[in-house]
Amino acid sequence: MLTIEHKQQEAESRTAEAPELKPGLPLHFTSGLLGFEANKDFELISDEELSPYQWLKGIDADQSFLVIPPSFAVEKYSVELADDDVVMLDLNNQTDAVVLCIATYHPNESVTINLKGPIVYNQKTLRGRQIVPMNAADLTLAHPMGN
Amino acid sequence: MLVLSRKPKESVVINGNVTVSILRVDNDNVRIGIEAPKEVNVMRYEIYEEIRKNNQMAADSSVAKMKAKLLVNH
Repeated sequence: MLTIEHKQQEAESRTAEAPELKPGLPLHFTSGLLGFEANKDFELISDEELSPYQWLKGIDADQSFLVIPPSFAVEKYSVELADDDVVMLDLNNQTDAVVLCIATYHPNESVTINLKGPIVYNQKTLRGRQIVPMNAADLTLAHPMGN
Repeated sequence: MLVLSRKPKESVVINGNVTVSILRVDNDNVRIGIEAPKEVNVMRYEIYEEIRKNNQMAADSSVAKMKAKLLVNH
Protein backbone atom coordinates (compact mmCIF):
# COMPACT_ATOMS: atom_id res chain seq x y z
CA MET A 1 0.00 0.00 0.00
CA LEU A 2 2.62 2.47 1.02
CA THR A 3 4.75 1.66 -1.94
CA ILE A 4 1.91 2.28 -4.30
CA GLU A 5 1.11 5.64 -2.75
CA HIS A 6 4.71 6.63 -2.97
CA LYS A 7 4.83 5.74 -6.63
CA GLN A 8 1.69 7.69 -7.32
CA GLN A 9 3.07 10.77 -5.63
CA GLU A 10 6.25 10.42 -7.60
CA ALA A 11 4.32 10.11 -10.82
CA GLU A 12 2.20 13.12 -9.94
CA SER A 13 5.15 15.34 -9.20
CA ARG A 14 6.83 14.22 -12.38
CA THR A 15 3.74 15.12 -14.38
CA ALA A 16 3.64 18.53 -12.75
CA GLU A 17 7.22 19.22 -13.77
CA ALA A 18 6.76 18.14 -17.35
CA PRO A 19 5.92 20.92 -19.81
CA GLU A 20 2.19 21.18 -20.12
CA LEU A 21 0.79 19.91 -23.38
CA LYS A 22 -2.49 21.30 -24.50
CA PRO A 23 -4.83 18.63 -25.80
CA GLY A 24 -4.60 18.33 -29.55
CA LEU A 25 -7.34 19.03 -32.03
CA PRO A 26 -8.51 15.70 -33.48
CA LEU A 27 -8.60 15.89 -37.27
CA HIS A 28 -9.98 13.19 -39.54
CA PHE A 29 -8.54 12.83 -43.04
CA THR A 30 -10.90 10.62 -45.04
CA SER A 31 -8.21 10.06 -47.68
CA GLY A 32 -5.17 10.30 -45.42
CA LEU A 33 -2.22 12.29 -46.72
CA LEU A 34 -0.71 11.61 -50.14
CA GLY A 35 1.49 8.55 -49.77
CA PHE A 36 0.05 7.89 -46.31
CA GLU A 37 -3.48 7.01 -47.31
CA ALA A 38 -3.95 4.46 -44.54
CA ASN A 39 -3.43 6.97 -41.72
CA LYS A 40 -6.61 8.92 -41.38
CA ASP A 41 -6.63 10.26 -37.86
CA PHE A 42 -4.34 12.97 -36.62
CA GLU A 43 -4.05 15.34 -33.73
CA LEU A 44 -3.05 18.95 -34.32
CA ILE A 45 -0.88 19.90 -31.39
CA SER A 46 0.27 23.38 -30.51
CA ASP A 47 3.67 23.36 -28.91
CA GLU A 48 4.83 26.69 -27.53
CA GLU A 49 8.45 25.77 -28.11
CA LEU A 50 7.82 25.48 -31.81
CA SER A 51 5.29 28.23 -32.42
CA PRO A 52 4.26 29.27 -35.09
CA TYR A 53 4.78 25.67 -36.17
CA GLN A 54 2.36 23.03 -34.96
CA TRP A 55 2.46 19.25 -34.88
CA LEU A 56 0.20 17.13 -36.97
CA LYS A 57 0.63 13.86 -35.17
CA GLY A 58 -0.67 10.54 -36.47
CA ILE A 59 -2.84 8.74 -33.93
CA ASP A 60 -2.66 5.19 -35.31
CA ALA A 61 0.79 5.49 -36.85
CA ASP A 62 4.11 6.92 -35.79
CA GLN A 63 3.94 9.65 -38.37
CA SER A 64 4.22 13.30 -37.47
CA PHE A 65 4.42 16.39 -39.56
CA LEU A 66 5.56 19.88 -38.73
CA VAL A 67 2.97 22.29 -40.13
CA ILE A 68 2.65 26.06 -40.30
CA PRO A 69 0.02 28.55 -41.45
CA PRO A 70 1.24 29.85 -44.82
CA SER A 71 0.75 33.45 -43.68
CA PHE A 72 4.02 33.08 -41.75
CA ALA A 73 5.85 32.31 -44.98
CA VAL A 74 4.28 34.26 -47.80
CA GLU A 75 2.41 37.53 -48.02
CA LYS A 76 -0.06 36.35 -50.58
CA TYR A 77 -1.20 32.78 -50.92
CA SER A 78 -4.42 31.60 -52.38
CA VAL A 79 -5.57 28.05 -52.80
CA GLU A 80 -8.19 27.24 -55.38
CA LEU A 81 -10.21 24.26 -54.24
CA ALA A 82 -11.88 21.91 -56.69
CA ASP A 83 -15.61 21.36 -56.15
CA ASP A 84 -15.00 17.78 -54.98
CA ASP A 85 -12.61 19.01 -52.30
CA VAL A 86 -15.18 21.54 -51.11
CA VAL A 87 -17.78 18.78 -50.85
CA MET A 88 -15.40 16.35 -49.15
CA LEU A 89 -14.50 18.99 -46.58
CA ASP A 90 -18.15 19.94 -46.16
CA LEU A 91 -17.16 23.58 -46.52
CA ASN A 92 -20.21 25.80 -46.55
CA ASN A 93 -18.31 28.89 -45.51
CA GLN A 94 -14.91 29.93 -46.68
CA THR A 95 -14.23 31.17 -43.15
CA ASP A 96 -14.47 27.60 -41.82
CA ALA A 97 -11.39 26.60 -43.81
CA VAL A 98 -8.00 26.55 -42.14
CA VAL A 99 -4.93 26.14 -44.34
CA LEU A 100 -1.65 24.66 -43.11
CA CYS A 101 1.52 23.81 -44.99
CA ILE A 102 3.79 20.86 -44.27
CA ALA A 103 7.34 21.82 -43.36
CA THR A 104 10.45 19.78 -44.06
CA TYR A 105 13.48 20.10 -41.83
CA HIS A 106 16.51 19.39 -44.01
CA PRO A 107 19.79 17.82 -42.84
CA ASN A 108 21.52 21.21 -43.35
CA GLU A 109 18.99 22.66 -40.85
CA SER A 110 17.13 24.70 -43.43
CA VAL A 111 13.37 24.49 -43.46
CA THR A 112 11.14 24.52 -46.51
CA ILE A 113 7.38 24.45 -46.65
CA ASN A 114 5.13 22.85 -49.22
CA LEU A 115 2.77 25.39 -50.80
CA LYS A 116 1.80 23.02 -53.60
CA GLY A 117 0.06 20.40 -51.49
CA PRO A 118 -1.41 22.26 -48.52
CA ILE A 119 -3.58 20.77 -45.82
CA VAL A 120 -7.02 22.25 -45.48
CA TYR A 121 -9.36 21.45 -42.64
CA ASN A 122 -12.84 22.51 -41.74
CA GLN A 123 -12.70 23.93 -38.23
CA LYS A 124 -16.40 23.19 -37.69
CA THR A 125 -16.36 19.51 -38.71
CA LEU A 126 -12.62 18.87 -38.06
CA ARG A 127 -12.34 17.07 -41.38
CA GLY A 128 -9.09 17.56 -43.20
CA ARG A 129 -7.65 16.85 -46.60
CA GLN A 130 -4.36 17.33 -48.37
CA ILE A 131 -5.31 19.34 -51.40
CA VAL A 132 -3.73 19.66 -54.80
CA PRO A 133 -5.10 23.12 -55.61
CA MET A 134 -6.31 23.90 -59.10
CA ASN A 135 -3.54 26.52 -59.25
CA ALA A 136 -0.88 23.98 -58.15
CA ALA A 137 1.24 24.65 -61.25
CA ASP A 138 1.94 28.17 -59.90
CA LEU A 139 2.88 26.95 -56.42
CA THR A 140 6.17 25.63 -55.10
CA LEU A 141 6.85 22.38 -53.29
CA ALA A 142 9.76 23.79 -51.30
CA HIS A 143 9.38 27.40 -50.26
CA PRO A 144 12.43 28.35 -48.19
CA MET A 145 11.72 29.67 -44.69
CA GLY A 146 13.79 32.46 -43.21
CA ASN A 147 15.49 31.88 -39.90
CA MET B 1 -0.14 -4.60 -65.58
CA LEU B 2 -3.38 -5.04 -67.47
CA VAL B 3 -3.04 -3.66 -71.01
CA LEU B 4 -6.11 -2.87 -73.11
CA SER B 5 -6.59 -1.25 -76.51
CA ARG B 6 -9.28 1.41 -76.69
CA LYS B 7 -10.46 3.74 -79.45
CA PRO B 8 -11.59 7.34 -78.96
CA LYS B 9 -15.01 7.51 -77.23
CA GLU B 10 -14.46 4.08 -75.68
CA SER B 11 -14.01 3.59 -71.95
CA VAL B 12 -12.91 1.23 -69.25
CA VAL B 13 -14.66 0.75 -65.93
CA ILE B 14 -12.70 0.17 -62.74
CA ASN B 15 -14.36 -1.37 -59.73
CA GLY B 16 -17.80 -0.54 -61.11
CA ASN B 17 -17.58 3.10 -60.05
CA VAL B 18 -14.65 4.66 -61.88
CA THR B 19 -14.89 5.25 -65.63
CA VAL B 20 -11.92 6.26 -67.74
CA SER B 21 -12.85 7.42 -71.24
CA ILE B 22 -10.61 8.12 -74.19
CA LEU B 23 -11.89 11.44 -75.53
CA ARG B 24 -9.40 12.34 -78.24
CA VAL B 25 -6.05 11.23 -79.61
CA ASP B 26 -3.78 13.79 -81.33
CA ASN B 27 -0.38 12.43 -82.27
CA ASP B 28 1.32 11.78 -78.91
CA ASN B 29 -1.37 13.49 -76.87
CA VAL B 30 -4.25 11.47 -75.43
CA ARG B 31 -7.12 13.27 -73.78
CA ILE B 32 -8.91 11.20 -71.18
CA GLY B 33 -11.94 11.80 -69.03
CA ILE B 34 -12.32 10.27 -65.60
CA GLU B 35 -15.54 9.87 -63.70
CA ALA B 36 -15.12 8.74 -60.11
CA PRO B 37 -16.84 9.15 -56.76
CA LYS B 38 -15.77 12.28 -54.88
CA GLU B 39 -13.87 10.27 -52.31
CA VAL B 40 -11.62 8.81 -55.01
CA ASN B 41 -8.61 11.07 -55.37
CA VAL B 42 -7.66 11.55 -59.01
CA MET B 43 -4.59 13.53 -59.95
CA ARG B 44 -1.68 13.62 -62.36
CA TYR B 45 0.91 11.03 -61.45
CA GLU B 46 3.84 13.51 -61.41
CA ILE B 47 2.06 15.78 -58.93
CA TYR B 48 1.06 12.87 -56.72
CA GLU B 49 4.65 11.59 -56.75
CA GLU B 50 6.28 14.91 -55.89
CA ILE B 51 3.89 15.60 -53.03
CA ARG B 52 4.16 12.02 -51.78
CA LYS B 53 7.96 12.26 -51.76
CA ASN B 54 7.80 15.61 -50.01
CA ASN B 55 5.44 14.17 -47.38
CA GLN B 56 7.80 11.26 -46.85
CA MET B 57 10.76 13.60 -46.45
CA ALA B 58 8.82 15.80 -44.03
CA ALA B 59 7.77 12.80 -41.93
CA ASP B 60 11.33 11.53 -41.88
CA SER B 61 12.99 14.84 -41.10
CA SER B 62 15.06 14.50 -37.99
CA VAL B 63 13.52 17.24 -35.88
CA ALA B 64 10.09 15.84 -36.61
CA LYS B 65 11.15 12.45 -35.36
CA MET B 66 12.78 13.85 -32.28
CA LYS B 67 9.82 15.99 -31.31
CA ALA B 68 7.35 13.24 -32.06
CA LYS B 69 9.25 10.99 -29.69
CA LEU B 70 9.23 13.70 -27.06
CA LEU B 71 5.47 14.07 -27.36
CA VAL B 72 4.94 10.33 -27.14
CA ASN B 73 7.02 10.14 -23.99
CA HIS B 74 5.01 12.78 -22.16
